[in-house]
Amino acid sequence: MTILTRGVIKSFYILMPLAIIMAFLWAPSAAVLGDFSRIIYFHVPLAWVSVLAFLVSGVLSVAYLMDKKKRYRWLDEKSYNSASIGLAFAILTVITGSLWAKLTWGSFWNWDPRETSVVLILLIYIAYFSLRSGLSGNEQRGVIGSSYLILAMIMLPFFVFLAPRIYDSLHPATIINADKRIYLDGRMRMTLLVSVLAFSSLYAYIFHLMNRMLSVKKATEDLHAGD
Amino acid sequence: MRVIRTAFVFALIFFPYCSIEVLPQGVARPGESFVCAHAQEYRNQGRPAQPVQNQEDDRQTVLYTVAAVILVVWVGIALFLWRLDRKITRLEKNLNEMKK
Repeated sequence: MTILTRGVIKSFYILMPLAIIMAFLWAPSAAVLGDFSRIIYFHVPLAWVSVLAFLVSGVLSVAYLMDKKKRYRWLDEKSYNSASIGLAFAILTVITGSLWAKLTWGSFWNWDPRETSVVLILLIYIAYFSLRSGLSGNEQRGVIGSSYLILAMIMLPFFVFLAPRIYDSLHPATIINADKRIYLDGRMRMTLLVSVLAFSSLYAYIFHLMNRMLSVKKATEDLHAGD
Repeated sequence: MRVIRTAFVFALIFFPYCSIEVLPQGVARPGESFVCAHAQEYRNQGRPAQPVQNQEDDRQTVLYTVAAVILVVWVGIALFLWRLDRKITRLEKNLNEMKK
């Protein structure tokens, strides 16, 4: 691993405290929402990173199915790792979102189009983990799991970007909207950017650690098989 | 299996949690948004109105406290990841030595 990659991955140690300090002590509170709005610096990056993790798992699955000569090792298990991180981040998104919903809309759950689409995404990925654990010991496990992840990745833009915009939503469209303008104060925008980078580096770090654990596990199994 | 078990436990906690009314509901007055009324009532519940300067000091204290608590949580997560990283590095070194 190059020094640059290691630096990007471990930047989590600097970026995360910076994001926390900026979120609570530097960024102004939103005009209408007040200090409750500061949860945006955790809720939105968690959601974006969960989508990123699901996309990475889909791309790795495509690579796994295309790699007929098996030049790259354990791609299906790496895509599983990425999907599991994505699921954890998606659950955290739902928790932070429901806390924010209680404070601003008066109820933890409102069946808003975006909330409904997140539930569907969670169900799709929970079904993937059920499918994969049900196929343990099956030779086709990697192929079936990867095909499922590709289908899930294809459906992801519909649930994340299209469905909440087709129907009226309680969620504001401050960043991606029809006006193509970002309705955020400069300091808020900067804090959100730092927070997104911090959570992305956290994802990269956890993913890297999980893949290294996978390599150690496989190498140990190979050693024992050799004995 | 571990992921499914975690998801199941989450569903078991989350859906009852959605139906529980933990925080008081805000009531908007004419010309005031629901959010403002709710936030104000939540902040001042059961307490007499304070001067503006005291309210600002309280707000700052709360923000510092929340930031400190989240930083402590972050330190816990960072320590866990750092120790895990070191353990994996040690395992990788041991494996390389065994291969040699």
